[in-house]
Amino acid sequence: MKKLGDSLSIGIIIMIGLSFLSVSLHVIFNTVSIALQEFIIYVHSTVFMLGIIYALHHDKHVRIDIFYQNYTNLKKYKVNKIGTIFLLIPLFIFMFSFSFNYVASSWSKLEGSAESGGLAFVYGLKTLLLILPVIIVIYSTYKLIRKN
Amino acid sequence: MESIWAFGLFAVVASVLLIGFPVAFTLGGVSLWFAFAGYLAGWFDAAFLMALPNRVYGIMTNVTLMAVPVFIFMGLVLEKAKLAQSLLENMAALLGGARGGLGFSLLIVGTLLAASTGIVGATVVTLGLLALPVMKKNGYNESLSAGTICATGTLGQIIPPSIVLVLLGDVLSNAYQQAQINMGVFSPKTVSVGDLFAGAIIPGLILVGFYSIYWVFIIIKHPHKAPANKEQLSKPLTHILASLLPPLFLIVAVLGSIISGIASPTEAASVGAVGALLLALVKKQLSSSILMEISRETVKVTSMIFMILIGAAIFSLVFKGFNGNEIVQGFLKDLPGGKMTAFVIVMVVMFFLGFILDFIEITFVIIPIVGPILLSQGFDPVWLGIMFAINLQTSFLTPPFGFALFYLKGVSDIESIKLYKGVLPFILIQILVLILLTWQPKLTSLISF
Repeated sequence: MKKLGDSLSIGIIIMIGLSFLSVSLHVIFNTVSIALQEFIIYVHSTVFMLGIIYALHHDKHVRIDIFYQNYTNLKKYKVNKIGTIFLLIPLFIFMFSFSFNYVASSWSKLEGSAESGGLAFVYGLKTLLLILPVIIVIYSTYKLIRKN
Repeated sequence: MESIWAFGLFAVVASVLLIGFPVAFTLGGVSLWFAFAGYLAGWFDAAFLMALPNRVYGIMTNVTLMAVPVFIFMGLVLEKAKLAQSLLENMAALLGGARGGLGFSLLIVGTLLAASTGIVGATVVTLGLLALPVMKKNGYNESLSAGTICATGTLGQIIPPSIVLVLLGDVLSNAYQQAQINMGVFSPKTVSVGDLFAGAIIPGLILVGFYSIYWVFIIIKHPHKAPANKEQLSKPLTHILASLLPPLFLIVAVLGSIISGIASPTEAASVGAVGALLLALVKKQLSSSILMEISRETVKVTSMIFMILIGAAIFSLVFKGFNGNEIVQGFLKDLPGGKMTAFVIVMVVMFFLGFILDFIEITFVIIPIVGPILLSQGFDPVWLGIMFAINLQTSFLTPPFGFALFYLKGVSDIESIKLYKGVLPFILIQILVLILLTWQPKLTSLISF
């Protein structure tokens, strides 16, 4: 998990560096690179989609804690266990199954960018819609089993 | 019957949220169970959910929202560079000798921090830690100091460049397009983040101006609440300017390039982020381990926000599937008193929702439902966005549930009742500004390009 976090963090730095490069190219040389701009989008969306798992690991997903902050640890644990089983896991199983055809049809035509000069890996980017649910369901199940 | 499903969905989501499981998963999970039950009962068409992958892909490739991580990164760099600390020390050295001088230092620093970092929780905490003890030591009234810290700390939502306005800009532009399509406008006008930034400058400054007037009033009427410093450090003026100019320059550079249209919000934010890094380097507050720490924190906060977006997208698809949008629309349309009544009701509901939900959730859950309705009744999108933002800022200041109050209580031992007394005048100022902007909506369109 630390490795994932570190790679995503480097991703953020790269994304900011490239955005800065993009605006510099635009201002100084008056050129716009669609490929560069799309690459920045790719980095950004990969970082936050996989970052959702990293944030879950660090309990960074915001809660309404008016009551939660006063719970005992046991009660917090129960809330999280029940929430994971009945809300989180079904949510991502749903996301996987409803995205499957969408991603598959993109792969079947090896979908590329709608812009000319854009990147040709839209099908790869869309696959994140399946990767995130798979990893997060495995991760949450593992946590549930290990804690018991 | 349909209205029971839509209303039930909203009520159950709100109650389950209070249990404390993360907002994003609760929004999405509960909505899906409702959709499933509705589907079994024959009230819900599963085809509505087929739009989900495309929605999420739209969130992934949304160019406006890409500015979010960059602004968060920039704010964290400035925080780690101890910008607040040096600004506060220098302003206190400049103004502390005068009566009430620390108060004005606080207002100026709070405003600058609000504009440059824009992270509400962080600003309140930083100011609470740095300014409150100093003001107490110099004999400032505790309620007054605490109230000022909460109010200026929440200004980050309004004063551009702010993350809140970036999120709001994205949601409002969708709502605006939808409203115009509903009205049969075939070449819809757009509203951009830049428009919102430009529109927010004057209202933001009006708020700060009113806060200052309140301080002048205190100094004249209750001088014992805001004395001059007992011992005064003096620093050379060049020293003070050197600490003030960099953040000012950053704000102007970022804002200027967005509003004038030279750069997209993400690009402008990246300029700000690089500038902030340089500033931190010059101040010798940057190392590779700090950079990684900032970056990791950026990943976590960004992912948290985007997961809420995904959860809210599911909620809104299901809510739409139960015809919730039409039901709310029908309700808001047939009110006595017309569009003003609808507007006031939305504002009041949003104010109370602000007690339990934070800005991101309200922006993504509530505004997509009520936004198109209000906009098709003829409200100006920029004005509406800024009214929402000030309204929510007020909500976050209001006892007993305001977020800002919790943040400040977390870092100081102030009694609740003193804190409540302290924020009360600022809440009245907020309401006054809301009324002023309703009376003179032009104030949000004085600056535009």
